[in-house]
This record gives sequence, C-alpha cells and structure tokens, in this order.
Amino acid sequence: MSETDRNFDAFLAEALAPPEGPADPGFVARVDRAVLADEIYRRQRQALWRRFGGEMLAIAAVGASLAAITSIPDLGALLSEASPLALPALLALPLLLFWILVAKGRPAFG
Amino acid sequence: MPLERDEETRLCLRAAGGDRRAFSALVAGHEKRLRAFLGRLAGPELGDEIAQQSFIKAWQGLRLFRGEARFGSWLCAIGWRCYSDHLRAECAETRKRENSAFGVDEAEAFSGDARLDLDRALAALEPVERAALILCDGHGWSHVEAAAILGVPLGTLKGSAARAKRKCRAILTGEDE
Repeated sequence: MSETDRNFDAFLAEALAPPEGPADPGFVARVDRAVLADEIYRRQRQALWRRFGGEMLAIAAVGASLAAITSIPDLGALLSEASPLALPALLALPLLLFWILVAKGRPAFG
Repeated sequence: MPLERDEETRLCLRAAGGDRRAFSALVAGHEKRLRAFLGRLAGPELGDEIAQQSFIKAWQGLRLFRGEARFGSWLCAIGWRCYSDHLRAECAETRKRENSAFGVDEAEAFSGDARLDLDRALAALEPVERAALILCDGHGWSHVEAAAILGVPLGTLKGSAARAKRKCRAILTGEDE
C-alpha cells in the first residue's frame, strides 16, 4: 500500500466517521413520541380485534341457541300450553347470552 | 454516547419487556451512528425520517432480537432494509431526481472543499457500494459485520467496498478508474 493509498484511507475514515458527542435530545424525544404513538395504536388495534372476536362469538352463540330452540319438537304446541311469558323468556335467553359475551369482550379503555 | 456491551444487553432485555425508558436510552446511544449512516445514504432529512422509522421497527421487533449480533449492527441492518424498501418504492425517475437533489452532477467539476466533493462522489455510487464504504471505512465495521448488516455475501461486500473506494478516488482526483 502506497503513501497515497494510506492518505486516502485516512481521509475517508475521518470524513465518513460518525459524529462524536452527546445524543440529540430533540431526535430522541421525537422517537419516544413515535414509539408511544405506535404502542397506543397497537393496543387499540388489539382491543378492537378482541372485541370483534367477542361479538362474532356472541352472534354465533345466539344463532346456535335459536337453532336449538327451533329444533325442539312440537314447540308450537308446547308454547300454547305454557304461560304467555314463556316465549319472551325463551327469546330473552340468547339475547342475554349475547349481552354477556359482548360485555366481557369489551376493552377496558379506548 | 456509545454504550458498554453489558449495559446495552440489559437495556435490550428491559426494552424487549416493554420498558420505553430503556429503549429511549438505546436510542440515545445509537442515534448518532444510525443517522450518520442513513444521512450519508439518503441525505440528512430523509435519513432522519428513515432512522426514526428504523427505531420504531426495532422497538416492534425487539422480542425477536436474540443478542447474537451487537444491537448496533442489528439496528443498522433494519435501517438498511428501510432504506432499501424506500428505494424500491420509488420509481427509477424519482430515484434519479432524489440523487440529484442530494448533490450528484457528475459533469460538475469537483473543486473546493474536499468533504463537499466527497458527498458528491458518494452520491454517484450505487447504494450498496455507498453503504459498504460508509460502514467499513467510516464506521469501522468489519467486512463480516458489514456483510451481515447489508444482507449480502462476504465476497459481494468486499467487491462493493473496493469498487466504491476506487470510484470515489477516481471522482475526487479526476483520474480514470
């Protein structure tokens, strides 16, 4: 390696070296804010997915309950013999199940 | 200020557990090098933007950081991938415009301040050549580390770094390669 090569390498090393000194507080604060915003966004997205999952489960549960109720043989005859409150009570059950599942899946914030 | 390896490992573990203060300390310890690297690649403003994006990606992926490499080289690799994604997203025409905005005009005579000339010479290099030269000759990474950062084989890295140096020298001295 010639003297010129060494000089050129030294010039490159000096010119391309990263700057020394303390961190730039403005940039660090900017990254902190961006990280916090990212965290909030991710948590909200997770909470929304959880809620969506809970609601889908609730809808499926209501559907299954209604299917189970309608599959009872001679349901019409049974209801005509029972008290007039039996039908609303029977229908209220899946709705109650829906409400419980949705309320449980609701996020604590946001 | 550069961090000690042990301190850095502790901060990485805490940050991976969700400690934002620990991550902030990592940012403070590495922002200068990363911004200098990306600023040389993309220009100061875009470099800072990509550096911020890289730190966010690092925060999101810290749980996957196994500590086999140094945090600094892992971060640099994220920065390089972000920059490469940015380049891919741009069409060739935009890329040309961006390079010229950064100061490339090969027809222009290289005179005056040598550092300004170096910026112009760097801007005339291929991105991977520029990155290889900055990492190996400026930031002191070994060829093996720089190859890992850029995700290229060692031979390719060595070739790129040597070619970059040759081209730079030719541009700065006005000699033929």
